[in-house]
Amino acid sequence: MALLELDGIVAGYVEGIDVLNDVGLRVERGTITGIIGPNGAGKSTLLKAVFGFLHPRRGRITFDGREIHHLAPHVIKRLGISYVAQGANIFPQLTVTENLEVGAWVFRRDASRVAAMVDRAWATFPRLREKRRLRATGLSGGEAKMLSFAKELVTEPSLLLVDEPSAGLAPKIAAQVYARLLEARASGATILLVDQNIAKAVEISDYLYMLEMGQVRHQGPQPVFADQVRALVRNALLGI
Amino acid sequence: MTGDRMPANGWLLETRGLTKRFGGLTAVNQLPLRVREGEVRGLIGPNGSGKTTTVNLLSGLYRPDAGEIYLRGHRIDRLPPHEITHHGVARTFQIPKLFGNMTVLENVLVPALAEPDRRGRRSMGEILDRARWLLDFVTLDRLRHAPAKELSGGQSMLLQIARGLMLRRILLFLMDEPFAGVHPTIKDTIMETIVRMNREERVTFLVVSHEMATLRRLAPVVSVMHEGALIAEGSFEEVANHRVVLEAYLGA
Repeated sequence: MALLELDGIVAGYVEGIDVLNDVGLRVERGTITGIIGPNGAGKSTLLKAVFGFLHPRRGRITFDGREIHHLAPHVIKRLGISYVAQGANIFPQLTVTENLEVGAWVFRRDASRVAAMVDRAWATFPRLREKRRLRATGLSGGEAKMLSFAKELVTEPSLLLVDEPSAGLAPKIAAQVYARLLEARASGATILLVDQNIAKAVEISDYLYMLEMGQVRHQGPQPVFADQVRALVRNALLGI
Repeated sequence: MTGDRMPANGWLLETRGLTKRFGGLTAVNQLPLRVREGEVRGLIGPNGSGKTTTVNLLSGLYRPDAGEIYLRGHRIDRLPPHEITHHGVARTFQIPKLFGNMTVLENVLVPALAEPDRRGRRSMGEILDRARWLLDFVTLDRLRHAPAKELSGGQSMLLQIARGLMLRRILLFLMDEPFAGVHPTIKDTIMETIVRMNREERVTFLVVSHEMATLRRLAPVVSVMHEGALIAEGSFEEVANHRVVLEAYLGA
């Protein structure tokens, strides 16, 4: 059984407009699964549906064998899913440590557990540790992006949803972000990655989906998908 | 050629060295865009390639840091947006910008009522006739007394289009993602409006869109931007087989 399964998902924000139109998708344990596709294809909406920010009109989402499509985000987070949104999604007026504590908010009643989580995060993000007493406003763009990752990784999720990790970042910082994703996979995490950077997504994913107009247009394991990606982009440009 | 005029040579719109920077980022970089009278031109490119910034420069919302914009040989890049509008350039916004507390009809009337006096206004009768005809065309006439803020996203897009077409002299219509997130029926109405206004009133369109299948039915020629520059131009078949275009979309 795959860690995450989506089955016949129909979802949207406005009545009468389905952004996702019967999407099925599987994310196997310990892999990076990449989702590519043109603007407006529904990639970000798919992540939001998994994380409970919007509830599908139809279909089923199961995580670790349990149906989650009717659950609220904080409940989903407790089950072991984290969501790294686009941009630097942090609290600028809080310190670096406080940001991590907020990341572990769903476990706030267990102070020693949160403290242990934050301690382990320092081991993974030593650079953030140096700045732990600083307000997040004082961080560079790259550090802020790292903090938004650290804040979501602090709970040691089994599934990490990542939306456009390199958007707006300098190439050097982007490379560090992708290196983090590979590290996270190496330490056992499963990742569902949405990316506009098709080349990079194809490079680091184990399995890929191409979404178009709210539907899965194409899917395949990395080596096969990599061979077809140019033809796929060409067809997308031609609107066929 | 210097100064504010130059021969148009059949180009309705011509930009030279058009450049816009935001801090360290060059959003539009030495753009040479040329559009002929009567064309429906597509403008495409990956996210962040500078398409919307280009539309904002052409409509005068942004001042270029360098370069020039000519409309029928008249330099317009130093004019404020309302002057550019009076020269016959209309636009829509991806997130519709309407006068929310005014009615649908009042929104369409704004361009006519804001016309400068000097070249003889249309009569109120003519203005109303045109407004009602346009609203009927975009299927909004029955909603004409409703406040614009009550419209759906797609209806708001239609209203922006009708409002633009209300300009007395409309030469160039700039559209930024007119099909994004709108209902298929409304998409069809927008396409029909573009085709008909292009054919019957010779309005030239520059349409930014990510919806290739739709755009391809409208625009024989498409210009492709990447990182602020123009990287290719031609039919969809030509640009889709262009190595540089593929690389740009791959993000490599």
